[in-house]
Amino acid sequence: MSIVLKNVSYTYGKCGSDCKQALKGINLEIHKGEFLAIVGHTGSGKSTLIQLLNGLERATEGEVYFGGENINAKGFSMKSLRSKVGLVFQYPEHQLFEATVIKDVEFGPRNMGQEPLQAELNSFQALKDVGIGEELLDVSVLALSGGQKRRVAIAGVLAMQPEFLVLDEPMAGLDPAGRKEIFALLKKLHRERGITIVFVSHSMEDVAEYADRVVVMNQGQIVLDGRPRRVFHYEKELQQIGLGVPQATQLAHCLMERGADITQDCLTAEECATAVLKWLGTRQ
Amino acid sequence: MKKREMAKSDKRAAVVESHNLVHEYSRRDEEGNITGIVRALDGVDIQVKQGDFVAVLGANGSGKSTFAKHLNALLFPTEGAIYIDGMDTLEQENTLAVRQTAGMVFQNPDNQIIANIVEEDVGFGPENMGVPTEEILRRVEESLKETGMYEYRKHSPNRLSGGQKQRVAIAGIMAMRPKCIILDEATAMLDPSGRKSVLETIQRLNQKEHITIILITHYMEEAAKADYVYVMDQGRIALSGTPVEIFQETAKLAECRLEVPQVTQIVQRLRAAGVLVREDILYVEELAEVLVQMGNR
Repeated sequence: MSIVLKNVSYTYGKCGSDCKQALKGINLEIHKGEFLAIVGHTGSGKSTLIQLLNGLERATEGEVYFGGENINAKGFSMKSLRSKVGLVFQYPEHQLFEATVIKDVEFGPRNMGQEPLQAELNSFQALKDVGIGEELLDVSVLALSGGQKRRVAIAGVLAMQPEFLVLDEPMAGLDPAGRKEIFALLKKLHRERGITIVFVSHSMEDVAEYADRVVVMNQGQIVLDGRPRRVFHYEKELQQIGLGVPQATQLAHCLMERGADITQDCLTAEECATAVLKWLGTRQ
Repeated sequence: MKKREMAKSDKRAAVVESHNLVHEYSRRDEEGNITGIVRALDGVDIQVKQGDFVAVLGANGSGKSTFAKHLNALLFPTEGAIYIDGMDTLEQENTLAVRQTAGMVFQNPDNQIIANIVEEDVGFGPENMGVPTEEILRRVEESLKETGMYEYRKHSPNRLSGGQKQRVAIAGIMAMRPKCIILDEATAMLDPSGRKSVLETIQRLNQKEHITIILITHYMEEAAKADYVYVMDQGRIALSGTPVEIFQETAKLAECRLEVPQVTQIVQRLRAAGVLVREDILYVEELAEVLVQMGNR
């Protein structure tokens, strides 16, 4: 089961007068089980791309396949696609609207046609997965903290039991500890429930630490695609399109340029410190 | 009487001065009965001098935004006091003057732009204050030039990026000639290049125009640019000092749900392993230089 984008383009507006090509000739296969990051400057097409993944937007050209089936073919069930590919928007907590936490989470699965009892069970499980305790189930969503609201919003998508969870900047606006909590949650869902994670991020440090593959977008096209260590090797190219690399990677590159014998591309502070110590050791 | 006046003239040296500032929110049930009290600020003492660039760091829910709202007379002390340019915000006749002294840029770029054209938006503040037309036009031009948005003066704000919108919002405040600009997580919703452009703008205003800047944030990299940093946790000041001093308190920052930048983490790991690089290094290039020198010794 994978999502495949074949030669996909997407244009906003009517061409000729006021149109903008948001995506150009995208070829991308997202495999089941991946932990994939999508990065790119504002306006590079990231958000448009993820809205194609569950059929929220329709490609102007090219095809999108889910599990081998063309999602725009006649008879394809968009409803089942949307429960299998769950989309969490930016600041999803702005979309909470029900009177209580449990009602808000149940709304999605019920809307997808789950039996009331099944919807309730799935919602309980989803809230448990995101670390919202039973004492909060009947509380008003307005009484929760920012971090709790975001986790409830994610639970609302999880309760539909998706196989793919796609998140648009899930860490935006959270403090460092809050970011760690969200990533710990995503890692747990990935490992224990086998859910494929696709997330959009501006933080290269987060991408380096959590993703096993990163797709770099620029002006509607995919310009780099690979393991973070390989992608962050191209610091200059990334800078040219308004992106950076983690500080640890930057430091290692800076030292290499100044003639230090460090060959490894470092991703984390720990890796970088180890590489520096090793190099200094050979100098003394 | 004389003593009181002297104390007052002392306060004028500071643009912002809070004494044991306490703010309590009351929680109410559906009938409006008070069900509990939350102490969002719990004895905050902060002093900001004219021309300073101060960062207030804190996690979500630490009280930093509540504090910001006191700077602009949007909230008032439950206990203690806050003086803006010597004016007690509790005195109702001061409210307008306080808001003209301390201008606020909020988090969401889409919530603070009201006009259809950039220059009209920037002119709204001074017009509202009754500034003569000639003077408004001059201020609008100047402010837009200073924030680097002059070439967009005839544009519609909704076609601008988040960072550009925030710079228009800053220009709008500049046009009111405040002594102090407060940015309440004004970069939180921006992408890295938008954050950079806003940060460069406020640094320039601080250095060139000597406008006092109070930057409320949870990004350490932004706080690193400030002269002085206050760290808030659970409504109190948990730490204060220069960025270099603050960044060395890794454990304490973690308790406050914050994290130091990777460069600082690397410096600390190297020092722990006996490589004694200076503790006050905040930037990648600087650390690389120091290490290369050590390696070549």
